[in-house]
Amino acid sequence: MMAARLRLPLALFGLCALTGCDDATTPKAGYSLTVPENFPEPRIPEDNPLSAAKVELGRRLFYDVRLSLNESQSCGTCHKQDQAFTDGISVAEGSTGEIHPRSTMSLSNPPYEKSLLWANPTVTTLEEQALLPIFGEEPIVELGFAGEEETLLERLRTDPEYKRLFPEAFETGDPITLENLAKAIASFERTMISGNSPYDKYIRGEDPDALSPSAQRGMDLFFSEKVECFHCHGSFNFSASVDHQLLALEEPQFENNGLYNVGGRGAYPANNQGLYEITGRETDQGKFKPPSLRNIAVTAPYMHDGSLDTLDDVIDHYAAGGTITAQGKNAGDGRTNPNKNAFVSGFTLTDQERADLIAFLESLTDEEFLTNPALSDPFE
Amino acid sequence: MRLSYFAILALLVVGCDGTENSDLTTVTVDFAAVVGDAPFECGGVYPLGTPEADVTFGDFRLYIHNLEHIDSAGKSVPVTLTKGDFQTDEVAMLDFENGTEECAGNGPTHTRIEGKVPMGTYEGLSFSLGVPFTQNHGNPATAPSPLNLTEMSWAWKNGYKFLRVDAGSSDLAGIRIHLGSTACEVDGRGLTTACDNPNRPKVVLSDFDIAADVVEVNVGALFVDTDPMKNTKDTAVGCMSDPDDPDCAPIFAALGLPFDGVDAPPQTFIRKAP
Repeated sequence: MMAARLRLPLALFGLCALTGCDDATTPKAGYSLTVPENFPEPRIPEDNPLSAAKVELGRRLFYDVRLSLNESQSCGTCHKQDQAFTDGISVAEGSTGEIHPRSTMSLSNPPYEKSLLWANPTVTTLEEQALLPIFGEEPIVELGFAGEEETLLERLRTDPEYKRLFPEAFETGDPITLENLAKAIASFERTMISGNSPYDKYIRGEDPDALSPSAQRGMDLFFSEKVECFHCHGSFNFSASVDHQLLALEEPQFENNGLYNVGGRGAYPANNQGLYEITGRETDQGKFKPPSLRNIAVTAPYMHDGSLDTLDDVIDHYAAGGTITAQGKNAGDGRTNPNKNAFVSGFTLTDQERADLIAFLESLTDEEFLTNPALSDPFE
Repeated sequence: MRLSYFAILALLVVGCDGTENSDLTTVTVDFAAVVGDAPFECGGVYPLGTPEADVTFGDFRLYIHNLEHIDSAGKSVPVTLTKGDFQTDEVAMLDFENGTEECAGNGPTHTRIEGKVPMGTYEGLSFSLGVPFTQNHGNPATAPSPLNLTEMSWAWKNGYKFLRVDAGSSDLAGIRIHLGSTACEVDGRGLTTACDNPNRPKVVLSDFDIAADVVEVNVGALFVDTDPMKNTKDTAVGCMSDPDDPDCAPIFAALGLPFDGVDAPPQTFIRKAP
């Protein structure tokens, strides 16, 4: 499926990593991105180096409801900081009231994502993704600007703040363009680094008490061959779908975890078939990105369609090796889905072990990230 | 001598665009949009389908590429398109909607394709629908017009809508026929490498006089075997090229495309205007 490829790291930042520079912060084009010591450097595209001006502009755009045609929604409407940039509902709702088949993606460490959507390997950069909700019509209208590019650009051109901020961020050419809008939002998103959870402080040796004994036992379970979470939710970002400057070989990034088995032959609900919707391969039915588990305690409900309400429900799902849908059009036994990843084979936990695992997952909540003023809504 | 130096320079400049300038001629091909026997108009109400229902249209645009003239020896000669808002040198967009009435696109229309071709005697015309693979998976935000239109890029599926027909009946508000490539392989870098269903039907009009004939594009043909008041449950309203959507079967047949294991019949969408 995914061919192994040797990748050359970008420019001097990659070289720095290979030769073992231990500087936790590396200034990039005048902007100091603070990357935690236990994190590798994210990839930054050469055509969009970071700058303070871009980040400030991007933050304003992210929270600006005028980026929806009817001025009712901004990116921040669904991506709420205090919920690690999710919205607390099972599936997302667009600015014109259409309901998305999938749930709002949490933005914990977006610059480290290998791909950005639930099941689309082609959307790999923040710049690409930023325009999709603004102009997309399928599966739903989100912010509603399809065909109305000029209306959006006119709003930006006539706003005194944007008239000032765009040229500061983009010094050559016409500053107010869709491409620059995407670059600014992407730049802001590159600062959404979450790496100061109790777990991080514990493993960096900053605070041996950061993880309770229960959470430490939960951590061992998480990384064990009994519970197997780490196979899909491993790496420093608790997701196999990561990309960074040290990564030379790709790993599979979409997995079927046995949530459904419509008709008993591996299908998923018709409007949510995962990677299959891109590749057309039967075995890709139900394959979705295992998202980062950072801040998972504040991003309920869970799964690509928000169909599991609590962490206990999630553990029930994996303990059983899949979910049984008893009735209705999506009925089926997910445990026997032929496309299911082999590591979702079920396990037994004592009550204490379950509590330990949940304590560990809760230790991935980074309060500083959820309250960082630099990531907050400038309009409030 | 200075005079002759400039004369030579002038000759070099004139002949210096990499083509045999004196051999090229400008050609135009006119396209007309129809709905069955009637001209296509925004705001028009057309009885279509099986069973018949009144249908109105909100959009009708398509890309073409690989425009070639067929000479009297049967050889296909490529036409280099003239760059403009609706044409790159390889891809043109036909735009039949004028942004008025029900049509939600933009004001300008584009029904005449212009390009350059070596002088010769031509008897036929061919072209393919859609955006060529090499340009289909780039970044619309930085592509030249007409490849930068947000309504014609297939945002989350990464590619273009080769054909966009938006329609409505009294029971179905948003019948959308969006043709694009599906079942695509993606490599480790996120780049699309190949698609099992390119969905770029080729149209050959072997007896076509560029100077006098018009290409007729019949959107009504797409509705002949469709019920405009019904849509298969849990599928896109209309057809968005999903290989699993039975509503696509008659539409793909009209376009001359294979679908769900059924070979492509001759297309009925495009012909020389009678």
